[in-house]
Amino acid sequence: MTSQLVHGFKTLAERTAGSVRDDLGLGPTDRLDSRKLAEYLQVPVVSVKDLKDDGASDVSISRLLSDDAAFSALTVCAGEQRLIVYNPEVASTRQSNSLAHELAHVILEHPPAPVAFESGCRVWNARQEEEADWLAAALLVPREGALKWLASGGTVPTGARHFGVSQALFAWRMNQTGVMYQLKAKRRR
Amino acid sequence: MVDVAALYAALDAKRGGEGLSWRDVAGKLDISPSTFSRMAQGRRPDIDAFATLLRWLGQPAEDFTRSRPRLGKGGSPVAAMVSLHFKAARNVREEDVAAFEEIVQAAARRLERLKSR
Repeated sequence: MTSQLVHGFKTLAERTAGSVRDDLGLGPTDRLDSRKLAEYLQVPVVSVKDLKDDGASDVSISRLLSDDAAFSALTVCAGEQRLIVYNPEVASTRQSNSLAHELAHVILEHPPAPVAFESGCRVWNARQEEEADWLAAALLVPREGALKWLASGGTVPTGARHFGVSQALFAWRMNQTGVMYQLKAKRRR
Repeated sequence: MVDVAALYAALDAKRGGEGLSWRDVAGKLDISPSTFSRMAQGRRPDIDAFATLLRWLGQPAEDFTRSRPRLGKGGSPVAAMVSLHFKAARNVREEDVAAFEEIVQAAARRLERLKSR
């Protein structure tokens, strides 16, 4: 897929992630708890299972929890207010990443799109989604933190565990931020 | 946007009244038979087919368009979804649409409840 990101966004994302982490009192190698970030941003988070009181049927809940639906998280808005609904049955690393992704939309002030499940497809704003993916990853695995982790002998599996993300996400960050390249260059010197 | 279900229902009624199969209608109007099977799955016809179908029905486009996406029964007009995060596929499957709509509605109600606190 071609990247939809505008020039300069990646730098902005790293900087934004850094300042949000500062606000939470986190150093570069500290793990970010997405729940705490939600609390900090005052965004309530509920499990899809907890929506029974609000009229969600068992059938619909089960359907969203099924593997086939591939559902991780969604955000609903009313004015400026937002609520995140997540799937509690996916891996904790996935939950954390999905929550960070949804919160990244809040941080980036992405305007909400209307609900439209037309023809079985959702409205897909590719740029906003890519921006949220990028910022979420930067929040969870800051470039500086990843660099420090690897420079001090850490590996991708241990780093992923430490930061509470999947190995795939950690490795992706290594590649995208040029951390691997920087380390190799350093070792050659 | 096109209200595909309403359009399909109107076409089906006329087709039934004239004793035609979908294939007959497609042949008569010179459009692809797959147009109808796709519509049955909720897909919009392309603009040319849409125009042809309206002519055949003798109805204006306004009869089958809605200005905003439907939120489902009891939908809150202020509720909107900003994002959906998936594990892999990036589309909602047709068979999951109703469940997603219901969950979004329930979430909107929860949000209203939280706001009024």
